[in-house]
Amino acid sequence: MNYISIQNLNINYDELKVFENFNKEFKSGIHWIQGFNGCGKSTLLKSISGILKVPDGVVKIMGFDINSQAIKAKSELCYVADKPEVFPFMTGIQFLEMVAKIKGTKLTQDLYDWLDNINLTQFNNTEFSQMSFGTRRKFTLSACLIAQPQVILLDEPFNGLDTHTTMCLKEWLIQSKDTKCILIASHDTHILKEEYDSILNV
Amino acid sequence: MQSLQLLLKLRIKWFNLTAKNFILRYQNGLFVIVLFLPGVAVGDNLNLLFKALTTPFLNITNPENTITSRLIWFLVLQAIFVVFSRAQKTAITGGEFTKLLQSLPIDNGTNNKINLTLLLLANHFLWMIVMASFYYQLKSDSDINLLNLCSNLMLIFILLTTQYIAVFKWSLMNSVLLMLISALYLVSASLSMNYFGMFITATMWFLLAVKLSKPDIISIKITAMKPHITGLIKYNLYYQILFKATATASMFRFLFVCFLVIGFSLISQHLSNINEGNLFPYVMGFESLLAYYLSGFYVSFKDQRLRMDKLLMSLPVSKTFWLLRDVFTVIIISLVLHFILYYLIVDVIGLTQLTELMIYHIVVLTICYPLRLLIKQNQTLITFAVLSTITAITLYNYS
Repeated sequence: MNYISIQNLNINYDELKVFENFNKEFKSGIHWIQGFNGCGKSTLLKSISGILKVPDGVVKIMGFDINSQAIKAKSELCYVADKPEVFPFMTGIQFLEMVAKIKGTKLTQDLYDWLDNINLTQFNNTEFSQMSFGTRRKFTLSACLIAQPQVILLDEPFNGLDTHTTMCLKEWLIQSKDTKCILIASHDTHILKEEYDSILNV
Repeated sequence: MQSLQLLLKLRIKWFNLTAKNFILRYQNGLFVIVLFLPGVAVGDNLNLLFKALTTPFLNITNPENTITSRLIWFLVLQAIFVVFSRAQKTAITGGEFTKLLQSLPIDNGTNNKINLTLLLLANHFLWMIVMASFYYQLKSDSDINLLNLCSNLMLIFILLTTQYIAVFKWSLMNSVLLMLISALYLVSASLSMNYFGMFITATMWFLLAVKLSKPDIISIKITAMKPHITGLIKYNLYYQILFKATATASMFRFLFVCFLVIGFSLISQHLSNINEGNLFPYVMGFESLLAYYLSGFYVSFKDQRLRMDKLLMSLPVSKTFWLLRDVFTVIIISLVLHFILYYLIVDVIGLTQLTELMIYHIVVLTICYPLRLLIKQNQTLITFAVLSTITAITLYNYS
């Protein structure tokens, strides 16, 4: 089953052609996206997540078109940006509750256990403006556990994380790879070593 | 519905926070507005000043005006609305923080409702002026008919649409749409129109929109024509900062300078008709404030350079190299502004006083720069002191 399907994707930045008639299908597993700085790794993830409007081509998430069936497609995915940009006045738990509310669900005990495991519980009521980069990052990554998304899009997920959290995240990714499609844009291929299922060189 | 309320609450909270920061940042700029009041509006003039704010709206809706005049006023009002909304773009849209929200399953209807609410909220100052315009319209027109009402509502609808496009859908295609909307309004407003005037103003508006949506286009053109000039811009840090400014920041700087020049000119002209002898304190006060702001430009440029200090210091150039560029930049910016100011007042004060003024300016600028460096961003006191002095002089003169 194709979790993500990309057909004839064309993206240009003025004169620069980032993607030209790009076709790709992703099944379950961990898929690594790599390439030099500025080659379009983040652009690809943004296009798949619907943040960047796909001007030319078709992107489908679990069979739903990201443009015409945006709500259904976005319900099936979780995107974590390279910069954890959240409204500065929100607390950690308010952020997670917001994501849960929009996705029509509630925070589960599994999520609270995860927060506890990565030492985030103490920051639950801290505002994002008061958090360190790594803590903000942990909260945005934790949103992936809400509503069981089938497609996980991670942009430089290991940046700013402590060793313990990196290991926890790695473990969770390996556990989930049989039932989810995980796209990771990162230079740190050594972290998951041989655990990934494919590498896409952009 | 629940997510709509939640998101609306968050976006309004963000808007309030950004608006608060904006006011704190530009509080000194806002003080300049007060500078008009002592010179222009005392007693009955206050009413006139308030009415002056409603001029564009009243002139557009007045059927006695020519179509060209109405078109020009319409474009002025449209530009005010666009600049006003573009300046608050980050506050209205949520800025970078909404990137994450865009990847969540939120339907377009919810998004549009929130966007529109924020846009209406951001316009509260302009709505006051529009309401004041309605008041003056009601006061002057003995027979308010349905056509007038429709015309007003249509104008507000167009202005809001323009703002919505300017904030959420800004692109080349939308600039064309703006033109079409303007044309539609004109067709409905009157059948006898000046096609040539409409064509010229619409083209100007279109070109302006294109330029503003792509600020880099200017540098690209310069590169194509004169590569050595681009080289100069590229390697001079200050000009690079100036040229790399966003469209909104450039518009603001431009408006700020225009505001200063107009204010200066108004005060000079106004006072020269009343009491020529008392002009000098105003000019001096205004000069002090201007010199103070100019030194602020200088300090902010220098601050930006200092952020890269370690890198720059590692380059094979001496400290004098950067110092000379600091001084050169402030002189260039200062000279252009003061050339305009002196040109405006030369008829009023004469050459002798002009020379004295220039010497005074050099002295003030020399004092202002270290003062500004010393007190950093705590400028309110200085601005307030200058304004209070000017107000006191004005009140004394009138009494």
